[in-house]
Amino acid sequence: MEGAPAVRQTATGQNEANRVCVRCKEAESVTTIRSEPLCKECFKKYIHTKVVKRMETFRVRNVPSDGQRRLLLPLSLGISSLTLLHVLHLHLARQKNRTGQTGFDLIVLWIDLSHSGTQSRDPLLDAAKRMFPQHTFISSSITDVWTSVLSSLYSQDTQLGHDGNLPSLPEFLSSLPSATSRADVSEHFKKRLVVNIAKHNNCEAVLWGHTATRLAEQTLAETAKGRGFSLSGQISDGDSALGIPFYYPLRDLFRKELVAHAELVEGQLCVFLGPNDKKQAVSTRDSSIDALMTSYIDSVERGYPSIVANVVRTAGEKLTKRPPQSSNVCAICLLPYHDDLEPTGQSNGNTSQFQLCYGCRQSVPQGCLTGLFEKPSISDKR
Amino acid sequence: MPPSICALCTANRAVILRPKNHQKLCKPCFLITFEDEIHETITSNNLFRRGERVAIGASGGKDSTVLASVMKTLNDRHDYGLDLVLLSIDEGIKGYRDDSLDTVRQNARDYEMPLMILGYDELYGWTMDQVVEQVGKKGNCTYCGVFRRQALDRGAARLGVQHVVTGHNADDMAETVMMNLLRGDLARLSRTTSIITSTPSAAPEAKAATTEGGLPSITTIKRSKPLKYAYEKEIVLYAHHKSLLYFSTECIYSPEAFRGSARALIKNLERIRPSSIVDVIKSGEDMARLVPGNEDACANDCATNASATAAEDEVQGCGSAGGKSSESMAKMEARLRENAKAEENGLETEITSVTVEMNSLKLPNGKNKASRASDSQPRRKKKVTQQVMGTCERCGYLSSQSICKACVLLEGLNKSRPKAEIGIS
Ligand SMILES: [Zn+2]
Ligand SMILES: [Zn+2]
Ligand SMILES: [Zn+2]
Ligand SMILES: [Zn+2]
Repeated sequence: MEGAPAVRQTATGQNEANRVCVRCKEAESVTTIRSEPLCKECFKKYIHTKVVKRMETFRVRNVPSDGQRRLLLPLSLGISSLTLLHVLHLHLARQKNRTGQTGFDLIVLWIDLSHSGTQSRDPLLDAAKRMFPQHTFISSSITDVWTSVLSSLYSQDTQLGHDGNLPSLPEFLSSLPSATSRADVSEHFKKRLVVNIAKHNNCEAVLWGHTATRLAEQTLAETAKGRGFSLSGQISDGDSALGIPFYYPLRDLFRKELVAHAELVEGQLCVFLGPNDKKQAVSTRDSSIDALMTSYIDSVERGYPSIVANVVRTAGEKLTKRPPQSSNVCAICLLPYHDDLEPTGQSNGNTSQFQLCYGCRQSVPQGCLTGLFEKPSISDKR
Repeated sequence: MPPSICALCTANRAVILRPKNHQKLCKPCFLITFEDEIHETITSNNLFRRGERVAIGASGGKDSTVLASVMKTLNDRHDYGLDLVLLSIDEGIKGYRDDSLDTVRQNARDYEMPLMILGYDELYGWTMDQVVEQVGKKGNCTYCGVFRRQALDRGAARLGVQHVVTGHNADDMAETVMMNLLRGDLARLSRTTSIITSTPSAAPEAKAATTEGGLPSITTIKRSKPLKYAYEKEIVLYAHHKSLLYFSTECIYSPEAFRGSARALIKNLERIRPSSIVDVIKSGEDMARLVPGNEDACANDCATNASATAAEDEVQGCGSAGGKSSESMAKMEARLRENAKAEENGLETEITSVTVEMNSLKLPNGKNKASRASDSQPRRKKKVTQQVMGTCERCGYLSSQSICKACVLLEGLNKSRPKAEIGIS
């Protein structure tokens, strides 16, 4: 049904009545974007302009004389990161065409989240590789981050046992008290791994595929999880709190606009549409804070998209980034934090022997860590 | 199933599942824990001075009833040496306050505290019923909101009290953080998260009657929220187990969309992870320090100077207020869209701005005041910096305009009732 040139009901929910595109004033519109009817070509231009505008730092004339700049693009294989890859791919081709060189090289990273250790294959990854053979693809497993987490924890507490009985990542995750904690910790582990890999591969920055929609979800979720202190350091463009610059080139686009772009303009991207991209509202009795914020932002965005965009602007651009010098670094999420007083009455054993930020202390109760490490230290004493 | 044992005293049977952290407690342990946490809030923030006279804003609702009870208990137990009084405001809506004021009178007898009830007629020269008669049902919410916001401070000034405590609870605070984040209003977010706010307000000259016509002297009324970290559900439980008498005052006006939306979100968050109410407040406090201009402010303890702040921003359930704060979601959406379009059009802006100027030239005769002006100039660069707070020329109340919202509203009301010579006192 979908995909034919005369799609009437688009992902943006508007009915198209053969209106003429407001930009070129020639072609028939295929969709309405922010209350403007656009034709296929102008819609495409709209998406590209929004992305390229956020890539100014990486223009050809900014390339240093002593070598090419490398940027890491983590691929979740969802529509957002694939659209980013697609648009940047064309952008690089245009640069090459115009100047004979490009402003940067892309390293595309895929993370296996399956805990299996054995490199599992995702058919979507193969599809992505076939689609963009010019770029370097690397992959990693989420289990790789666990070594680095363990060493952060050990470096803080040398009393911990060392007899090879170390807990595995799945063991650790399943010891966490709730779906919210697991989702939260997993999300930060993923980010931590991406940062590690970017640094390892001499990448100058990370290009995230987050849309305005996703950034708004993250803003509210981090606020709800007690990480308001780190918002601008996580979601603004440029220097991040994690020691490597972050860029969010899709920050001016909504998720539904990318869905429409795949459906109406770039049909080949449709394989990357997930089940949640098409139907609206994911309210399946939200089990975690992240899931709750996804459905909440979805509902606000339907009526008030500019309010959603404004939330992102507020958190990302209007808050100062905290100067990092006077800070501790969290052993779980690696965010620098100030050790403030707890709000009154939060007395759930928060005097941790580990340096954890407020948010991670909520997600990872003291008992989870000591419980996991107790076994070896008891056997030490015997 | 064996009955569970209290997690604290490990002796009594647990009868309460604490909403805040799902701890199982017996009744005495719950009550003492609840009180201890408020004591901790009070002491760690240095809320009171020995010998201070403190007015408890009392509406007869659960929050202020529990606040009065706990304040009495802690004042006796820890010998704060406070002189506590109950202060109630009667909006002058026929029948609306009858039951709740009865409740407050009963509280006053129970806690042996003096009670002062001040009416809108005494404070403003108008009861809400008279306002409704004058302006009709539609616009009265604005008046209610603005008048209510100032009433406690004006009332306290009348009593010569310099510190008012209110029953804002953790749920209210979390809701306000989310709401201001949704509104993109960081200045307000940072003002409203602090536990102490102070408002220069009108106070009567020592003994001189307020009618003399001269400008009343300005004192500083301090406002604080001892229940800032107390969960609404625990407040209800506390009232229940202490058999406190309160009146369920549902605000007769439904909250505007932003607050309603934030409230629903907080309720859902609490269901998923009970600590998130406090976590949101913690985020709000941290964000407040990242608002440009606030970087040097330290955490809670010196919040007083960090906040050149306004009780003007406080919302007591009924969310409507004058000016920008009452901007509906739809209106804000439209304003943001217009801004975005203007920004996108870059060059075009200069051309269109000519027409804008012409339009605004036509406006001034209507003297529609500041709120109109800012609405009609979406292209003006928004400043991130804090609003400059001054005081109202007429009444001395804290205001970002030369004349405060209440005085503007009163001017309008009094104009349409020419014979009335009652000014604001
Ligand atoms: Zn067109
Ligand atoms: Zn952390
Ligand atoms: Zn007990
Ligand atoms: Zn005034």
